[in-house]
Amino acid sequence: MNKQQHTHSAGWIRLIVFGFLAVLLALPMTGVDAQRRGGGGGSFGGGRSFGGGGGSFGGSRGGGSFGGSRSSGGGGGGMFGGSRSSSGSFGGSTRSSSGGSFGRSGSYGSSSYTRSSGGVPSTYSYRGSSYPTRSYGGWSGYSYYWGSPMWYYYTPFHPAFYYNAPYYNNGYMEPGGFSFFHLLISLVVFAFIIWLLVRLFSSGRKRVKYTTYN
Amino acid sequence: MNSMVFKTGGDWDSTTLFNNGQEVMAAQLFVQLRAGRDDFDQPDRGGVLNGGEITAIVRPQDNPQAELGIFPGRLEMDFPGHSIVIENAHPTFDFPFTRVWYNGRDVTNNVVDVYVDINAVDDIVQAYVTLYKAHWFGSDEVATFNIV
Repeated sequence: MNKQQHTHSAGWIRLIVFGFLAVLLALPMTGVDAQRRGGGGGSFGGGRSFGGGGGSFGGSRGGGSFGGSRSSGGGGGGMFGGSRSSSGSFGGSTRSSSGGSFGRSGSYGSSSYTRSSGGVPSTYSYRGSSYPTRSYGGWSGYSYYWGSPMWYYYTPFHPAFYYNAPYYNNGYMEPGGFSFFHLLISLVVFAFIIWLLVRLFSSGRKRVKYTTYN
Repeated sequence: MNSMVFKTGGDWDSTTLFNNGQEVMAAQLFVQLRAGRDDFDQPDRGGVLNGGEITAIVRPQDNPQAELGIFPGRLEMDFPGHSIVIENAHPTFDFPFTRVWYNGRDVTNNVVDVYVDINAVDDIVQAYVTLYKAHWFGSDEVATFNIV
């Protein structure tokens, strides 16, 4: 009998597909990279902390924090620093004459934060020089992300992908326009992903038609 | 190594079988290849790469009870309007080394069945090829080509 049998599975293809999808899911899905281009630093955007001196969160000297064992600040900086004039921020009994919770009045001082509201930087480096920027609202601010692009800006999963790089115009940097070509690319990509998912998860009930040719 | 050529014009008189240029007086030529199946034995893509089994024998007229193996070697089968070639030159006839052509096209990676039974004793002639056709869009197709 001239017979041979051999069987092995080929499930590694499905493993590759799952890996690809896992990478896609790991990509950032939002464009809120608010801190990337700014001066760095804290939650409120500044590269520096508010106020000048003092420790924060439980300073060992000076004014109390969280319930203040002392009602009136004496020496050094209390919580959140600043030039507070009287009691600490938390648990204090009286408000001084000036300002809000942080004991300071007036507008903020100079800041190293270069991005204004709306995610648009105040300046943009172009051909070695720095120029002030203009913004027209909406999502066009994502155009300025191309100043120092991350790799995932080149994918349709980041809003910057859909905007062209800013351009120079009379001493200002104008945001680049919406890229319909990139939108078209993204539609193809997302259509492929959807098709892949449908095909992947419908493999268990794969439709096969049987035909006979005589 | 065998190099067999089977030819038929559609009747017994025109049906011949040669091995390395010499005619073989045969009672039966039987070839059955099964490949391209999933874990549930349902047709799937992959063909020979998916594993399978093959039976290929010739029963001589002078001793129909004997089964002479064809492989390792090459078997060409020419039918009216169809041709099948199966080759396995591996010394130990290892199945993954099997290659299949149908009508000149390499179908090694999408063949599901090849069945050829030319039985002069029982006057049975049957041959068909089944291929798995994977489609990017729409349902995949398991196509059976009846030859004789």
